[in-house]
Amino acid sequence: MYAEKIKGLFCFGQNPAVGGPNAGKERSALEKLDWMVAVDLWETETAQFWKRPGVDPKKIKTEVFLLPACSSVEKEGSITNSGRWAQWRYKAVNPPGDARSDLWIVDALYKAIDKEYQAGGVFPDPITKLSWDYGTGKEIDPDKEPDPHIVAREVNGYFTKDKMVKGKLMKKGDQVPSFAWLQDDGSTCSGNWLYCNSYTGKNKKDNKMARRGKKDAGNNIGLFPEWSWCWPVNRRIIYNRASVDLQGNPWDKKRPVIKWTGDITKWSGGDVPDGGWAPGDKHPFIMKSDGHGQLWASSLADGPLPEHYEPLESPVNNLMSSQHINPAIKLWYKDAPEGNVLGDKKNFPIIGTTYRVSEHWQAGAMTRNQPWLAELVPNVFTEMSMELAQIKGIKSGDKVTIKTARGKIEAYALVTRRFKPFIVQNRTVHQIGIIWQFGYAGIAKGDSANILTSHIGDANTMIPEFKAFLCDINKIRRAA
Amino acid sequence: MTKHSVFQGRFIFYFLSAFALILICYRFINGLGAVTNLTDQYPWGLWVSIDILAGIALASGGFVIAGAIHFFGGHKFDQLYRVSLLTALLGYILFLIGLIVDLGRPWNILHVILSGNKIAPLYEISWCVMFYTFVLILEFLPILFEKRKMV
Amino acid sequence: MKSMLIDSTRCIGCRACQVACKEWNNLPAEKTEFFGGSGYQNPGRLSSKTWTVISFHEAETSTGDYDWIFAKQQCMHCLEPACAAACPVSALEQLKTGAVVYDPGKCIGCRNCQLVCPFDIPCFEWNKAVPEIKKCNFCVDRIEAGMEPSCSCACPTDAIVFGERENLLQKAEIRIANNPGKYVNHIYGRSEVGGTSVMHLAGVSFDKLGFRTNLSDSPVWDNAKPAMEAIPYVMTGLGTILGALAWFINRKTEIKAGKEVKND
Repeated sequence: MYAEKIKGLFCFGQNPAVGGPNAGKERSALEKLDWMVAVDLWETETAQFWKRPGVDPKKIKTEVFLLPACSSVEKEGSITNSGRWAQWRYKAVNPPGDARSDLWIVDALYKAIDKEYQAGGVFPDPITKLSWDYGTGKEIDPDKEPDPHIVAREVNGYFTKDKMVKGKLMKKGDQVPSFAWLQDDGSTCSGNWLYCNSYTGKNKKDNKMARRGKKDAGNNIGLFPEWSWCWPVNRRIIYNRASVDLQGNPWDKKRPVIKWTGDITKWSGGDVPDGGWAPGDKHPFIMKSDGHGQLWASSLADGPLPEHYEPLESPVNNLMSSQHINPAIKLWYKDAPEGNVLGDKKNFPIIGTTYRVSEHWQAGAMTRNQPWLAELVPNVFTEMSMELAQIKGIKSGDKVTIKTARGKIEAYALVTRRFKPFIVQNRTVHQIGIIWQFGYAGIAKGDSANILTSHIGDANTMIPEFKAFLCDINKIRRAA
Repeated sequence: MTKHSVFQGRFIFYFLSAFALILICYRFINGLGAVTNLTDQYPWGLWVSIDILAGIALASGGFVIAGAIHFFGGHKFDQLYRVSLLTALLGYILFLIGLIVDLGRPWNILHVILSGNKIAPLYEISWCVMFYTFVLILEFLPILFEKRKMV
Repeated sequence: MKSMLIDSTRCIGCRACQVACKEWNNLPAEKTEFFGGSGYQNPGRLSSKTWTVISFHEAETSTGDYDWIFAKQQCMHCLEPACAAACPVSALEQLKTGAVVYDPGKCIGCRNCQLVCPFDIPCFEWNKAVPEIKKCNFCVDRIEAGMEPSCSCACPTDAIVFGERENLLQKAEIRIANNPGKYVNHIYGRSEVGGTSVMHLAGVSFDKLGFRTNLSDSPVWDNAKPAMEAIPYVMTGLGTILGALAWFINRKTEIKAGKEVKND
């Protein structure tokens, strides 16, 4: 984006101006866009990057659109959690003003883009040949909400023509019962094979995600298989064949997950087995080539054996490895050095880390706009030990500047005994912790701690190193 | 009779009274916190003591003198009797005015009678103030009407 | 008699209770800057707009590190409330549910309740033309509908539980007995000032959490009550004696005047 290789950005519920590393550069990168569409419940820092403190809106060429989104209680649909449950939720109230669901917005976007492509374009087929009908007609209608049930049924998948599968005749239009029934000849379609089995019929009662059964499974381990639905095929615990021996008997007799009950009833009374084969037929870790669990993986960019590496900016030497930092991380300071300067431990001797408070959520748009939450934590602050505070002459409530090689912020200081200096390699090394959830928008405003962090991506996940960097801190002395 | 010299400094008091009247109006519009430094940690201010001192304490002196004269004095104390009664009455009236300004919700004052709480000291004080003021007015009425020879 | 048990050792300082209280009672947020007390405490104290607040206290843990311990400040809903005893117009009243509630229809705004409360709870609306006394009302409307107060409902760790006083006292005793060394062996509010509906358990001595530990077990009004109750009798008695004296003196004067007339 900074190198102007990306022209436009759709930003749905994201706030990289606060949550992105090296936030100063990220904000500058946004300025290089031709256009940006921000979809959010509030005008976040990202949505208003073009008028942020210190910039002249006249100098920014980006055309910014703000589409008001509605909250999860103002629309119907499913929410998937990290336990793989897809729970169906209902609309409680109408959204305010012109706010619309993401579904309505995407539906309207498609219709508008499709209309443009009718008049020609570089490659119109992928847009114009899409089957797209979610119950709102051909025109964009602000009062018609697309039907999330149509979407959910499509995600599950259906038969596009009559087909005989596993001895059963499936008719065109039937929902696909589970991913094992999906075909590779175009007779079925599915938005996501993982969700195949979530909506197995035409009626709302066939929406397994909407189930609220409170009956536990026969094994009584709190599985509650009829409460909502989880992917894949409502299997609540993955690789659960690892819970039985080669005869199919549970290792833990008091808390069995699955149990082989013989050739007729097979696996019954527990979770959906992760592979219905008879015991001993297949090893449990079915997605691994050898079926076994692994302590170390050969598919990672670094490893396979664990090793200690120091963060990119570190005040100490690596005593455990001759390789100071992870050799497989993405180092933007080399590829795109502008704004990605590294700090040395002489100028920035203090370890900086970032964390959260319960009172604010993520980049803060949802909570720093709430008066009761802004009352609890109204300003950005940094915590430090009594020892560091004494060295720097800082008291709780003082305003301080924190700077790294990439930028600087102001914050309140909170001096606490909960922080203690480290003694590393016979040296005292201090650390400060900064709340990262603040920005220039909202009721409760404050500088964003991510101005300080750097663009560096984890070797496998590209997650930035938000939690370890070098900085310096000083009390702000106002002129008398 | 010699001409009484009027206190020339009375203009200062007129000015102070006018200023006080403005403050009282401000107090009623913007609340007690706007004109006092009272807080939840200090809900009663020095003025309560001063109000009681200048009002009730002064009046109690009037009561004692008037009472003593009534029981043991003779007609030669008549002037003193009238002055002390007037002082006492003015003291109580001053106290009542101060009270109305100090109370946050003075319009509910009748509730001391309607829903009074017998074990509250302020209950006892309220009734005492009511009685004493009533008595003072009664005692003062003859002086008020004597010119009309109704007494 | 309903009660609330607040266990400081279970409290995580999330302030869901503070927000729940504001939400249920539609209280406005206060304008705050940084923090009002130790740790993340905000606002710094109770006020007419803040009926409960969590205070943060740094304490050393068994491993030599430091961590926070939390305490909840709010009206204790005393069984023998000093505020209700002091109020000349009976605007504060203790209900059968245990809640000490305020009736603005009677209140004269004398603020005597603020002076006598041993826990410094009642707050006044200093900046209003029509001011009221504000404090936690035990969510009496929720209690009467068979629900629990908003704060105890919101508490994610059950640090705040609500129920019958006898049951909660038992629960507290069991907790203390089953966890030797975890709790200070005292249920704060069991007997202080005659007992309160809101009771506290803690892992450190209560004075470290800002609680007053010099309160006697007798209700605040115990000393005043006999004196106040005697007043009508004293007044009547004095009135009779002085009346008799007055009559006697009058009689004496009249007789004297009569004798003079006779002698004339």
